[in-house]
Amino acid sequence: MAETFALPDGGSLAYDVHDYTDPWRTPDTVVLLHGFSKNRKFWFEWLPGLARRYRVIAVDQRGHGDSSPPPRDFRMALAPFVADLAAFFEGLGLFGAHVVAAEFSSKIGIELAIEHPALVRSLVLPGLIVGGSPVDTLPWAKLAEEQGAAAWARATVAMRLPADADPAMRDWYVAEQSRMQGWFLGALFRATPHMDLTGRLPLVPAPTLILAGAQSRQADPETTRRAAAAIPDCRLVEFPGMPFNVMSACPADCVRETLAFLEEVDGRRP
Amino acid sequence: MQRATIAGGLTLAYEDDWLGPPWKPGEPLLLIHGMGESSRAWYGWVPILATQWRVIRPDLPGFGASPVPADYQWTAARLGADIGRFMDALGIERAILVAAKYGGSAALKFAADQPGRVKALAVFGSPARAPSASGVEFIRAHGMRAWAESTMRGRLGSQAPEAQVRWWIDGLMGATDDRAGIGAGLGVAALDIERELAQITAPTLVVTTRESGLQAVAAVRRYQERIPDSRLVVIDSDCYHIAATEPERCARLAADFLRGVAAGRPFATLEGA
Repeated sequence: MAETFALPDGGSLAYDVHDYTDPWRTPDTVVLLHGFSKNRKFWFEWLPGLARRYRVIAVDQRGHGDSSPPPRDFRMALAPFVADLAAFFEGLGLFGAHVVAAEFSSKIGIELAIEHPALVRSLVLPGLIVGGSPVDTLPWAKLAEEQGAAAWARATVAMRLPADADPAMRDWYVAEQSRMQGWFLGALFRATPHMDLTGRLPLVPAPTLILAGAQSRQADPETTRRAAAAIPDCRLVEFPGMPFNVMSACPADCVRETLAFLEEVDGRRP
Repeated sequence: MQRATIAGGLTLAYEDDWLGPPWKPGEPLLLIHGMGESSRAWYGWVPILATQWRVIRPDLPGFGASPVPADYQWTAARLGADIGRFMDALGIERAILVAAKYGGSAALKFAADQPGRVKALAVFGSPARAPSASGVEFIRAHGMRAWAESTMRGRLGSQAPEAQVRWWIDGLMGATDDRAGIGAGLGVAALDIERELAQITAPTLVVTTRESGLQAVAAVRRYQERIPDSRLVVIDSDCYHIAATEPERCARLAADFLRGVAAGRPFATLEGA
């Protein structure tokens, strides 16, 4: 059932807690951060595997899902998103949580780990993006601003899902992505290519797992390999034949690799 | 945790989990706990079942987060009827029921009284007739926690880790309201629903343990055989609450059975069937 966290500036973040662990243990927490234009419900395939071993919190980022829309003067940078999450983590007493940050949120996860190391025990990055997108997003920014998020979602869903996807699934994706404010979606499209974290990677203190699709277009594999080499304590797992959005394209493989990685990280705990 | 007010004025707390695709509605499956327990007892079952069914776990009246009603009889008939009223409150006409211990007795009675409302039924460690020993006098004298402590090793068997035993005593059963525990204990002591089981139309899976200290396999088989479309599975274990000690194995067994029901062959692939 959805919970709400009140942010210092009056906004709110919606989140769910899933915990099916043995009640006599004190499990670690895994926080799931969805990608651009999505929300916390997109993680459903990860929950059964993770939540039997960890307390799993899936949160809607500002302006996504059931979280409050951003004010019009919201600064289009990573810092406000990071600040939201730092407030959220601290408000819930989450210190040393494992953070799974997908796609656009991988940048937020990296910045959170660098700026708030006490909050982040490890990082898992399905669909890491480090710099700008090789795809020109300006036409999409205009489409979203002029016609709203629904227009963009309908126009681009075929790129996001396989041709033989269940129509009900396609409709659901479009409906969920349509909930964003068009001006905000457009502003993010304009701003994210400039959020280049290449120089920040050597500063990531947390053990990191990158999950990458070998056929990804949004994040070319060679760039991802260089990023993995630049992060000090980092493992890269590439899934052959998989597109950019591995969290949805091969969730079982992602969960398997994540659980193995988290177990290793836990094993290193003093 | 959510709450529903059911006909008759009772409030029931419940959990509602669907881990399948968000664009599909999950078919409702109720998990009904036993005497002195709560929805929390089912933690190990949810990740296995909720990918395929919408798993709804009520706290029965007086247990877990459900208030203790001022004037209540915890008979199998009343509990069964309130399961039906709970389904009404959630707008559920027909559901799968999976239940453990005395919760299963209530579910069997409900399935016998309102056969059209139960699509399939699976009961784990459940009696259809009062066991020889009742905990009621002990609970009256010493309280739920002491009763839970004195009976826990038998309940969970020799293989259960100490930490699990402690939680089951302190965190779950021992935290139960004494009045509700006594009330349910009286309900168990008055249990006698064997003759009605022939009215159950739902495919029914009955699961018990070979060395159960609570009821002999022969006694369970005798009542199972009264249920027209049913099968008995006997698991080798020295505990009598297999739903608690082997949640994943039991949840998979229930899932296999339910997939078989959906395919029109309920018992085709069951282990030990």
